[in-house]
Amino acid sequence: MLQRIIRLYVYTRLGLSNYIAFFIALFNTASLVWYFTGLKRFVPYKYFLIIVFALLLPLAALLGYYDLRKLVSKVTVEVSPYWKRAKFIDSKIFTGAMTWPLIASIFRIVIKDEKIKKCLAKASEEMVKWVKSEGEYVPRNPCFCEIAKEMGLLDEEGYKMCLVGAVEAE
Amino acid sequence: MKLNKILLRIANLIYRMKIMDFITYVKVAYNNYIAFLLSLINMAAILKGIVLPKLKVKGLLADVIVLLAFILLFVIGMLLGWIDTNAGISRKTAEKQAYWRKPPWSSASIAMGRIYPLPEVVILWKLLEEKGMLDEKAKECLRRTAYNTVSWVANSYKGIAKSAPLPRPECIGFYLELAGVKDIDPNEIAKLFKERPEYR
Repeated sequence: MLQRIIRLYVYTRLGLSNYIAFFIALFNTASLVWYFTGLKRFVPYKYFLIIVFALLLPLAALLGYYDLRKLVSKVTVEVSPYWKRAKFIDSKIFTGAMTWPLIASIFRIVIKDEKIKKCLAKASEEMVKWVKSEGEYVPRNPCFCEIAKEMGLLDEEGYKMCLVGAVEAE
Repeated sequence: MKLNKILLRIANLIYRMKIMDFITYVKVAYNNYIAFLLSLINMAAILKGIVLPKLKVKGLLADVIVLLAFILLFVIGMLLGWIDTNAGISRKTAEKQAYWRKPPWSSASIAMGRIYPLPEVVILWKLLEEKGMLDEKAKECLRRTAYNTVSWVANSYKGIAKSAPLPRPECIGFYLELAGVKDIDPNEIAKLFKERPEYR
């Protein structure tokens, strides 16, 4: 019930902020400019509004178009903290602490190495536990880090970094 | 270089401060509830204090009008919000942004083997070994991918995220060849990573 109310509240806020408040703000800005800049002596209010919206809206639309593709909006995405950072789920999947059961099943058919097969099963189990607990369970499974070190894929330094994601990161 | 180190230290210090958690919670509560509540109070104040007295509406009728305005606003807002997420500004904003089509850093990096989940790298190593295809170049590229991946994960928990090293053209070529991709110059892809700050 509470979740449903919150959902309605979110819809309400979106509707109010994206449409009602937005158009009122546009109208307010135009009104303030007309009133305080002395334009009211030269142009009647309704003509001023027509001129402003006829000029402002196409210009703003053009600016918005470029903004989303090349300017501030694009760069804002790029400077967000998780643009180049591993999120929690990444730190677990990329270090092999957990893996998707379907991927694991494909690899378990292909690969002969029993140790890797066991590790895939463990990583899938961790993924299922994580999903089942809705994120409360923190997967801790260093077996792929260990295998990678044994194989010579990771050196000591790499192994230690691997453990940060596979075991420690929360 | 020195400034970078100072910034890194400050960022790490700030990140570890418990007060930052507190400020984050306060800001979220302010954005999601308090600001909205304040805007409702403002609206009621403007309606009752300015608009309705100008229209010479007073007493109980004024209260009823304010209440009706709120109900109307909520109903319209809710309907608009539902339309918005499914077809309006919210959906369009997500779909029109540059990275709706453009590959983000992680997708581009994964696509070229700069980073990759460790199990897959381990398994590829084993399979190549079984097939007698694990030469020095293969070992070097797989080691590079594995190292980049774990260093990317470990560095993600520090104040300033250090990007994974750039992918090498020979390794891009190696992975593309294994995948059966032909007629693509790996140097061009490596150049893209080198030149574009968003992918560096």
